[in-house]
Amino acid sequence: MIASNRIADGTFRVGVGLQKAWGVQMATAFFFGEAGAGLYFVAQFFDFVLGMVAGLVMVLVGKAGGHVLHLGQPLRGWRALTKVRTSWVSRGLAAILLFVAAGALHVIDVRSGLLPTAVSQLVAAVALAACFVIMVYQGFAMSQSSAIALWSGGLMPVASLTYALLNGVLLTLVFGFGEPFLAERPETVRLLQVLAVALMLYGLVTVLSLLHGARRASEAGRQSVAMLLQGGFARWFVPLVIGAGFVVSALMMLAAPPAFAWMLAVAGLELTGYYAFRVLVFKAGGYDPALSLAYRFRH
Amino acid sequence: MATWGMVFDLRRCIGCNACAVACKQENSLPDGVFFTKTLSEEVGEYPDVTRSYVPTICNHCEDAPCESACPTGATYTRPDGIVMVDRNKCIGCGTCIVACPYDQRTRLEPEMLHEGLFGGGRLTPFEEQGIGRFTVGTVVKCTFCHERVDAGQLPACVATCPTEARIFGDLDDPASRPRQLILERRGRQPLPEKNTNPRVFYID
Amino acid sequence: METLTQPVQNSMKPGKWLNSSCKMCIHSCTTRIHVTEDGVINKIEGNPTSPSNNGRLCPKGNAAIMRHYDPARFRTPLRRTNPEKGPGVDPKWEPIGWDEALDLVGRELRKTLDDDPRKLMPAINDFQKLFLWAWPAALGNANYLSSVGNFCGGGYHPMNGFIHAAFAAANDVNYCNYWINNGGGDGFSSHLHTAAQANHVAKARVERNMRVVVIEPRLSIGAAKANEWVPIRPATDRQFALGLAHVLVAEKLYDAKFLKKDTNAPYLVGPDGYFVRNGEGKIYVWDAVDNRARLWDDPELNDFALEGTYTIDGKPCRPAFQKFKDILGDCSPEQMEKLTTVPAATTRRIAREFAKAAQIGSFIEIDGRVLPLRPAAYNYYRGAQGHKYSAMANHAFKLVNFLVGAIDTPGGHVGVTLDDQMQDIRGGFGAIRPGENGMLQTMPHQLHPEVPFSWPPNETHLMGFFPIGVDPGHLTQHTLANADKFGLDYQPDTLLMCHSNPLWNLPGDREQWYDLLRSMRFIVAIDILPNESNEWADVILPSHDLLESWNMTMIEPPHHEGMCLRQPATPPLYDTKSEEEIFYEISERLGLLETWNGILNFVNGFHQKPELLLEPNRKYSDREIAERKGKLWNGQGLDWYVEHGHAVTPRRPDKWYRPWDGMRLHFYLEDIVRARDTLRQKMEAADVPFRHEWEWGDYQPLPTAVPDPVHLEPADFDLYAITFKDIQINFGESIGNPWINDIVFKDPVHTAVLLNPKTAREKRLDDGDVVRIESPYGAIVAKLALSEGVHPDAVCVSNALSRVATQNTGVRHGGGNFNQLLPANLRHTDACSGQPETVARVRLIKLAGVPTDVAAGNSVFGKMSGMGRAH
Repeated sequence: MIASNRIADGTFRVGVGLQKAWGVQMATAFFFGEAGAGLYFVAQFFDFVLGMVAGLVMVLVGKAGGHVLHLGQPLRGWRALTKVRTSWVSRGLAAILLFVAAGALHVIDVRSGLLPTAVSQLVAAVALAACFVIMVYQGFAMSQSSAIALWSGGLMPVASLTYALLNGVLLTLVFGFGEPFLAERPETVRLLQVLAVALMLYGLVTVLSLLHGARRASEAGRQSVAMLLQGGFARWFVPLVIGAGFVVSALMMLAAPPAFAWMLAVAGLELTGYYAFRVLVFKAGGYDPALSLAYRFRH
Repeated sequence: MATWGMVFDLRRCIGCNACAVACKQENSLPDGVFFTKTLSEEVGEYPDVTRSYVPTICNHCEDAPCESACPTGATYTRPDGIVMVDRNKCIGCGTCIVACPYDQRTRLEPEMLHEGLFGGGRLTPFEEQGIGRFTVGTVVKCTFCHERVDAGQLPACVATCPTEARIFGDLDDPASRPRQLILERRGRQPLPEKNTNPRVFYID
Repeated sequence: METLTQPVQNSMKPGKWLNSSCKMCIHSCTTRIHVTEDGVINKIEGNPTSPSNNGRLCPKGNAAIMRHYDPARFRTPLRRTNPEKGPGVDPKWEPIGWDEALDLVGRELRKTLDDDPRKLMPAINDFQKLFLWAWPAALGNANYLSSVGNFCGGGYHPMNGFIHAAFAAANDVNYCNYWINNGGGDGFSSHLHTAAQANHVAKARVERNMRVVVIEPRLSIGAAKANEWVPIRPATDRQFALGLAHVLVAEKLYDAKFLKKDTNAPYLVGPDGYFVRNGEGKIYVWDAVDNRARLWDDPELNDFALEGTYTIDGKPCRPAFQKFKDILGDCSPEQMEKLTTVPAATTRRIAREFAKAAQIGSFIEIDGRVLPLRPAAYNYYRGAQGHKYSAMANHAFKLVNFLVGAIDTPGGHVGVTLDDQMQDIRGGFGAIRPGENGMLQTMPHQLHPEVPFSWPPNETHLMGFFPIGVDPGHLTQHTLANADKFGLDYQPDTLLMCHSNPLWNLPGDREQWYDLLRSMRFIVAIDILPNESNEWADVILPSHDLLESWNMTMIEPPHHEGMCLRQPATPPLYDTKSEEEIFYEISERLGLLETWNGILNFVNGFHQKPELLLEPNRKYSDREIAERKGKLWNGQGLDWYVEHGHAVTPRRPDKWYRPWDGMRLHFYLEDIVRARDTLRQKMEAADVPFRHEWEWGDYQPLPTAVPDPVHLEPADFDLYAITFKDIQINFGESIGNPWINDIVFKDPVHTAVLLNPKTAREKRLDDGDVVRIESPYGAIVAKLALSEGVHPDAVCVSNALSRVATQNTGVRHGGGNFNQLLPANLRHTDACSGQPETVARVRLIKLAGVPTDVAAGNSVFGKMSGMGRAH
């Protein structure tokens, strides 16, 4: 109905416009960013080389590659380094470069011990710091601007960090399943399992709080949340992001015996939920109408 | 140095979108790309109902979130307040698009430039003479017709508006039409809660 | 920072500016055209030196470049190679040379002339070259296969000729403070010089707080901007106006002084409907003081009686005003509400506000002339007047203005001439001349001289039976389907179209129109782009477009006057010719050169300046004709116009305000009674068999509240379908222009048919449902959009949805042409004016989905292209 449909959908109606600038490629890059960095972060804690390498590859190929695919002018991508002072995208790129360089050096160092101790520690710290930036900056990149109510809440970086840690823990449980640091220490596995469940609960609360905040933020936020929970995206968001990503995966993790298949299954469910989160939160992102008399009229 | 700004008189606007078409003419915009457009909204219930027309355009914000979000510096603000995009620096990441609260930016996709206004990939002489200003994969938006303004003329949308619903001028000059209208008719900025400080005001 | 050596904005690139005029609708806003050094037209703007459009252009005017460079344009003369003709059937054009094409057309038209010149059906519709409309007269032919003019203004133009001796009418924006718009978009979205009017009306609204009241079934642009929207059931506007008149008269809110002094309202009317005259033909009035009859110009007369019943020579008689008052006895707002649905209290309030705003008794001095100031006016157009009883409707609206004395006054409702009022053009249709008994001579024929009555009829649309109206082109469907009854002793077999799309604009059954076109032996079309009609042509003669040709025009400018130049901005892109050259070439081949030049001299008024007269046996270019028209206006040559672009000035107050001062206006239209009786006599004398079926009740000297027959259709057609245009598609063909498409098909009122949500609920219909809209005469398919801005009885169909598939693939089609819902018959045609009914009674039938033939191709109701991809 002309009067009551609040989604403008590219027409010349005053209403909520959906952003279409960031789509699946961007979501995929974000996915690999927070999966890879999370994995590296946890893996470095355990000096788990395979995990660190996998994390580095995910960030370098998956995240950076996804971004390059998304760019309109990929050959000029290096220019994105120039605005570190104000732009989270710039900061993120700097972090990626630093992370890949320091992380690679650290891996080599761990395997060969070629660096002097002080330098070695510095490299490890730098790699970890850069990794941490990647784990949170995507959230800041989204929440930095107030344009899209669904994204602009302060919880977006928290969600990023929570997801990244969760991804890191679960991928460590999968990649490192037969490795000595887990195989020989079942209490570590148990600890990671508990940590995963806690992060899932925390993530669920964060995501729900984020939606709650967006719904109260503005007309666009309300429409975005409605799309995710009741509208066209609900059939993906509810079962995948909430169900598979948090509830089912947490219950399974609680019940999980120390078996690879279980770890793989839980990680698969959670990562599916996380990927859906990345895609759907992009797709449901909406702009507020610049000026809406009907909105004022009704409220 | 002036600081350019625009006032939209909602009482005058008839939603004809002559502005949008004049802009397409002036700026050789591809099909489906708009630097300005006028939206409509039904308000109320029969028979107490009306329709408002809301012109929209890049607000050339003083605190432009597109500029701070831009990772390359392609988006910059001229000393006269006009927010520009340098197509030679833009990498087409779209960060500015999602940072602009007013949904005023468009990334040029290849088909937009190659398909042609009449489709089929055949460009008219009009398109051929104008399309060169665009680079595929970069982001474009309203420039307040900066070249016209530099030459002392009004932006194309302002010049053509049949009802003179668009009033352009120097916001620093207390005697300018926009300043007076903002004062007299209590001009308000779009989405003030976004803290962007737009240089575009609405009066009704 | 970006460093640039060349400007990127089109108007700033190196090149030149040329003065010209727009032709994206029929009117002529002045423009300036920017041409690059490479000869490409890259920007068109309004010309800021014109006080009319003040440098402004509407969206259509801004989109002219896209018509110029449209790849679908006809590039050479074309000949059909596919013998099969039909809607959407590819003619399989074959390019041919001009000589061959013109010879072919000349040969075929010669055949028609030798056989029976009446067999030619012309459809010549270029409004900026109105003189072309007269070309068939060179053949002695007065046929007309088009609804241009009569669909929108069949009753409107003759009534303006009756009241103002003018072609159109406008509310005087210079002083008006209370602006009623009824079914017309003046000042907002359509009709006279839209960009110019919107400019002036916006200033009046915002800077002077002019109050705007819009009466319409749909929340149009005007209604949206109005202080008050009064929703009304379609086809009841006349009844609303009569309700207003009732209040104005009952509460004595009228300008008695004006009615007595400046109109025939005090003239005494006898029982036969004619004025009561003495033996010398002089009309009687009643002296209210001496209580006796006197001649209207008796110097002894004390005061005119407007009311009362009197007897002269034993015959009862009443002042014309009393006759109207008698009619209004049955027109109380409460009675009218039953039909209009407008609450009686609203009508009463508006009547009182209107009368108060009119400031009856006030004066203003303009140019040393003291004039009545009446800053309240009632304007209207197609939506209000496009009904069966159109003459009555038009008259009713005029009478509301009459009552408050607001005819041709500052701030009032003012006649608008097609061109210059004082010049003797086209036989003086716009001239102000004294008539009999102190009255203004009525000028109901604004487009061409009266077509003589003939039996058997020479014209398939029976124009000879319409001594008042605008050509009812649609009646050809009715008469050809009943050829015996209508005495048609020939079957038309040749069609000549020039910038015309009759298959789009004619009401009536499409299949019957297709059959008519199939039966044509030869069809030639002069045009620019493919459309519904010219895809049936045997030969296409491509003309220059508005950016390649010369012209000089002044077409219906409401508040301004003066010729506007059109000049070529580039050489023709293709192998095209001007319309002037094409018609000269055809005329020469038919041996009609001398006749055609004679007609051109007459219709252009060149005889007023003998040095401008066209020589009998020469062919003239568009440039030469344009130059003469410019010289006729102000004596200036083409160089002057090229430099200035136009001669536009505000209307001269002496010709704009009360140019008839000293004459009486026709409050009561005795001329209509006379036209009726004269026609009846002719039909009796010729023993015309259908004379008893003729709609004699349509001829009324004063309007009554009788409902239009559309209200009497079977009750199961329970809704009223109306069609509308907005400023983006005002007049003529716009759809298919990519810039117009880009704004129209994003506007929710143009992408679906509009229905009130409450009505939809009652009918168990919802947003997005697909319905068949059925009238007693035809059906179309549409997708529904629910809108609060719609009267509960109305179904509103944008004209953007009324195109059907053509050879021009840029034209998006809807679910069929709205006009096929309308009847093309006598019952629904005003016998007094030729106006067809433009509202259809319909019912909605829900369909499972969009039928595949409707969804096919570039359908508006198919997959929406271009949506959202720009983000």
